[in-house]
Amino acid sequence: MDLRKTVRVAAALVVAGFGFAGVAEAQVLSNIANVNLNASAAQTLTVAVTSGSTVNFTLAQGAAAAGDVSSAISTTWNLNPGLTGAVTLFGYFNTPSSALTDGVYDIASTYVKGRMTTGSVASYTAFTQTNAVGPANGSLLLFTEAITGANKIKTRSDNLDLQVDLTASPTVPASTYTGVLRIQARAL
Amino acid sequence: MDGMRRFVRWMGTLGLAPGVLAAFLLAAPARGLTLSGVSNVTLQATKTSSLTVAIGSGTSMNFTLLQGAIANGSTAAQITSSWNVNPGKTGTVRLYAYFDTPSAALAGATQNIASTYVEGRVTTGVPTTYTPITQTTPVGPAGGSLLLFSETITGGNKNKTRVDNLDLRINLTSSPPLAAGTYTGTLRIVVRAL
Repeated sequence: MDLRKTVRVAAALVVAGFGFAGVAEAQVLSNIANVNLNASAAQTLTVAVTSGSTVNFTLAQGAAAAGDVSSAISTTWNLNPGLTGAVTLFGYFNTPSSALTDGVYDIASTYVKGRMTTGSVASYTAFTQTNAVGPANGSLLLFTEAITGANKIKTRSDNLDLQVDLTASPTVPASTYTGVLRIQARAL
Repeated sequence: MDGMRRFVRWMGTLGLAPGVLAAFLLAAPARGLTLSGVSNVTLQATKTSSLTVAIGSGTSMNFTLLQGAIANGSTAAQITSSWNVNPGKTGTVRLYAYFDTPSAALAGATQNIASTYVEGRVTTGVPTTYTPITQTTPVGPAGGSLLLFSETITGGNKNKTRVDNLDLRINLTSSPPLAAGTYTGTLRIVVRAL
């Protein structure tokens, strides 16, 4: 008896199933139209001095004066390895002959030295290089990093230590000297 | 009266009576007409339901991507949907957009943009505000489509053409860093009547 009941229920379910299938068959689909999407993400390269944007020196004739703080430099990029070989960071003075000045007397970039222990200059080196960035004899290459698929998107932080080295300079008049060191990254 | 009888007798003399009899004999076959039964030819004509979709303009859309920001499409896609359906068999007509592969809605050289970051809206349709193309609908793969409009079919709109604009944007405000480069993809548009 139970078996008959089960069979009846099963039959009813099958019939119901056909009924639902009949509804599904009424579906009509159109053709497919396409919208083509083209998106481009441009390469980016930014640099920021996150701390130590002002560095003070207490000058002493015949000695090297270290800056009171390091400059923390954050360099961020999103580059295409197929188009970019390396990212290079530079520091430079607009006018190397007067890296710092009091308006009367100038301290040349010859006496301003930098060091980036996580970069290309492990020891203090004068800003007298001629590079792709900045004027001749007024810059210093701070780091170079080759771009691959692994680091095509990256942010790195480096500390730049500065000093004004008057060990071999002519006598510098007592005064207050100011200057601006430019920091710029380049991808090529 | 006697004159008439004489005339008939005279006509019979001329032999006209046999001619009249012959004429009656010739007329006899017409009275024997036989017609067959009637056979019918039943005429049946069927007009199937039709449903088409076309992109009138905006078949190619450009985006200038910016990390952490929203990039709007350079133009809207103008979608024309036409149908001729039987209201007794069709309840609604719905328009959908979908990507074949939601995880790679737009593909780049080394990285893809998922449909999570591609948003659409149809101000004359269902999603009037930008909505990710991540719905699961009867059309397209799971998690990769978006319902654009739904119209109930009645006698009044069983045969209709409507035009809707689909606005698209790529929203990278919460996306992981996207590699610089060019990304391309195809958004499918299809209409379904049920």
